[in-house]
Amino acid sequence: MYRMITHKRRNIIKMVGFLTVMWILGGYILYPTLKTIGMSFTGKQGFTLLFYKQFFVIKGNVEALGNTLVLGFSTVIVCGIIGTALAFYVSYFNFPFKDFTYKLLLTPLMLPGIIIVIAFIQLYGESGMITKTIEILFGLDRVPYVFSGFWGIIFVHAYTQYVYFFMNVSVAIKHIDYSVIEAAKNLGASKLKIFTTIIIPFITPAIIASSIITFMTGIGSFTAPSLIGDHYKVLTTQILLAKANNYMEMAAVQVILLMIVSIVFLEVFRYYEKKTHFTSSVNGVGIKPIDIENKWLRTLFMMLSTILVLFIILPVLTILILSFVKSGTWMIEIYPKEFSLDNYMKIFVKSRAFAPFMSSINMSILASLLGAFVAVPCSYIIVKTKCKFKFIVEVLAMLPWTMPASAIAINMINAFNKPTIFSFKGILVGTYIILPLAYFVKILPLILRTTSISLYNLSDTYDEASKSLGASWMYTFRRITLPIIMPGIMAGILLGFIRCVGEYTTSVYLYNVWNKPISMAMVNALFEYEIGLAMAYGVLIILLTAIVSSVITRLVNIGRIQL
Amino acid sequence: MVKLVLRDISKKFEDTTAVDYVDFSIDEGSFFTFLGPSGCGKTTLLRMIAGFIKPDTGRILLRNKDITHIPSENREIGMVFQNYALFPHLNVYENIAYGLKIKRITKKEIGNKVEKYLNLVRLEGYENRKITELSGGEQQRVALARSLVVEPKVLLLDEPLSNLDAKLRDKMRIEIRDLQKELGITTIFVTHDQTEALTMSDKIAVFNKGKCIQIGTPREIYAAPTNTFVATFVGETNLFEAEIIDDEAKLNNGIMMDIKKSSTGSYLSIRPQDIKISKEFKNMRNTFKGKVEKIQFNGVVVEYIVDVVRTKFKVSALNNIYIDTEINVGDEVSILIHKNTINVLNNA
Repeated sequence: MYRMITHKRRNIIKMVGFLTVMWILGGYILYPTLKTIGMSFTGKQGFTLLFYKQFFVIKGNVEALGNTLVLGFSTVIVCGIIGTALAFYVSYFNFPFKDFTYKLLLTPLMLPGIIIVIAFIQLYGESGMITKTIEILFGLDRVPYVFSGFWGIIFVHAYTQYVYFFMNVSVAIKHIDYSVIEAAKNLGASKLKIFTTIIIPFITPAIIASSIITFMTGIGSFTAPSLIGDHYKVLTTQILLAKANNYMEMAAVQVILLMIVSIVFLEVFRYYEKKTHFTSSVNGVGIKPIDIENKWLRTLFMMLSTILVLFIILPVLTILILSFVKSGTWMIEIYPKEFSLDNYMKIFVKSRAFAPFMSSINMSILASLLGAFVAVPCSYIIVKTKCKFKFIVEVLAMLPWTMPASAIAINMINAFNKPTIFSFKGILVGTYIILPLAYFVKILPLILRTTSISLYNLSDTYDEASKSLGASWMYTFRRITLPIIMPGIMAGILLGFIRCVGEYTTSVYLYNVWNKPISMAMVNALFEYEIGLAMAYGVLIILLTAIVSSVITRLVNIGRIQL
Repeated sequence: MVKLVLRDISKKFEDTTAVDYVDFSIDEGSFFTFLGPSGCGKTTLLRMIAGFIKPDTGRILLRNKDITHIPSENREIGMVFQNYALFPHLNVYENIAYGLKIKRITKKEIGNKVEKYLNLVRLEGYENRKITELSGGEQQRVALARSLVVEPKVLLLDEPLSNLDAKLRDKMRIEIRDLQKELGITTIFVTHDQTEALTMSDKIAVFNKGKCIQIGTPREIYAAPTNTFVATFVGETNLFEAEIIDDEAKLNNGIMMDIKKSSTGSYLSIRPQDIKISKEFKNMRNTFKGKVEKIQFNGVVVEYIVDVVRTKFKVSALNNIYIDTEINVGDEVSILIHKNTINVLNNA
């Protein structure tokens, strides 16, 4: 009898937990998406296709759709070439400061897009320092290039997203078993043959996986198109335009088309990913990098590395230097002359300037914790149970991955500009919580991935061993499962934090007086010509992400997870 | 005294039958081994006893109590896993104390018990070691201590020696058996290694394709296999198809052999060491002329392959002072087989 009761109680706990998770997934991911879909089909007289027709009538929309696709593929191609080339460069050759270069090459991943765009404007923009320097050096009377429009966006994308290719291909090259290459040589294969029949197949899955991420980021990119896009229209900027004109039905149609593009190409890429995937047999010896004997070649490589390093740290350096520029002292000169700690003082002394900094930190913590709170049970259900609904849980939790940030923002607006049961009868738009909720939706797939990896790595026998020693399910979860996967959870939380702390896109749509984040403060400062202040905010975000990423690296080592 | 009863247990995974109506019982305090090749269902059966898998049919009775539907944590059945499953975030002491902490006994009592079992597995002073700092053998002992300290009614061992190197395996074999005898705990041991099974067990159940095909003491299993599978899986043997006519057997190549009276079956099994090889030829029953085709020397024994009218006989002789070193490949020899050593079997 006693056993029956405890068994029942255990089931009730599980049930309540499951329903809570489903409530959150349903309320903040599914419901808002459905709301947007519904809105796109609902006119004054009920169901209509009018807004879809309108989409194709209004000038610029079709162009934006085409541009979005072009931008997506161009991003993949450009980043693919740069990232893969760099991966081969670092994996195949030995050169001085190689480890340092490798780590440095990974940094753009940790920098929020908004900071990079702003730094690039300061460097390569019309009155940017590099642009002006070139003008003076060569005595030009016009700007030598135009850092805006399609090429400007591609330039930013190349800088921010080659890292995916670089990282994944480097790992794939590391996993090429050198004995396979030796076997091929032994069988008489030429260098070209080895490259096409061994190396290419080995790195293809990595290239496709990276293509997926860069394509999705490319078509969903908003920061670069909105700040330097100029006349180059893409869907994300059209969505903001529609929203600004309060034409929410059109915004809904645009969001849905963007999501369709995203899901269709995701599935296409995934099809090829599965087709090319294979697991190599044994962990053999990796490829040994070659020392370059030729003196001239070595110098060339050195120069190449130096240029690379400079190019990568230049934006960060720019932000750092400009953060010390005294406001109002740098208007007409090319280079700033007066420096002070004023900007930092302003942030830490003036509560109005400090608020965005704290607000971003608070909202990021909130979103990441909520993310972990939902991701842990979800990944447990997906990885460790045979629950009938696990398919639904997985689809819902991963759904935001196919949603560009603009789509998430529009969905949230459509869902919570009226009272709902999910908002406990309140209107969330215009309140503090709306932005952290959107952040949470945005980072859930990321956290879910890390917690799932930890759980995959967790052998079922720990669970069984605990049970055979008399521990209940709850006790086992608390004392065994949770502590072992804790590094993975923490890494997930911190990764989520990094993604939120400089977030720009959803912030543009959802921020208000209660929760103005640091990214908005930066952009506002920029428009008010307080460049130094904007940069000081940037430095603070970079510092924060740098500290957090070093903690993540440590946690990843402890938890032995591969991210 | 009967302790654990398995009654008509079966389990299917999709289309494959993992365990096929197994029905036997295990005596209190005995060391009982499930022996069979991989995929024979022995581990599935063990996991059903542990409560990790629910059987499709049948019941499991422990000391006359039906435990089939009791969750694993309430069964009081301990288990040592193939990979030990030591909790990596806890040290040696915490691992062993884990099961005791659930039982709500005083800290002092926990301390005493952990110490007692640490001594039993000869790991005194290892309390604060991390799991990663232990060798394979030490991890094995911690796993043993952890499952024994809660004093389970039955101890399950799932191929616990398979991750150890050969020398350590021999040592742990003896250690585990001694510990089991000292504590008198009913133990079920799963292995695919016949040597482990033969040296450690009170009784062995041989499994093939989900069925338990023979149960007996190690000697019974070895000396009197009841079918061809057991004869070939446990130890080496010469297996011949034969036609049985009263107390004689006719092999496919036509040679006739005397066998024990009233044997039935269609196969003969003769252990290589039961065949005597000699250069002399005496005209006796069950003596056959043949030619040495191959000689393999492996230290303790010398193995000969002898061709008798196109049928190959494997013969082995202890490599000692009495061995006939004059036998070489290509020599004419005679082999002698005592009829009592010939087992007549059915196919399995």
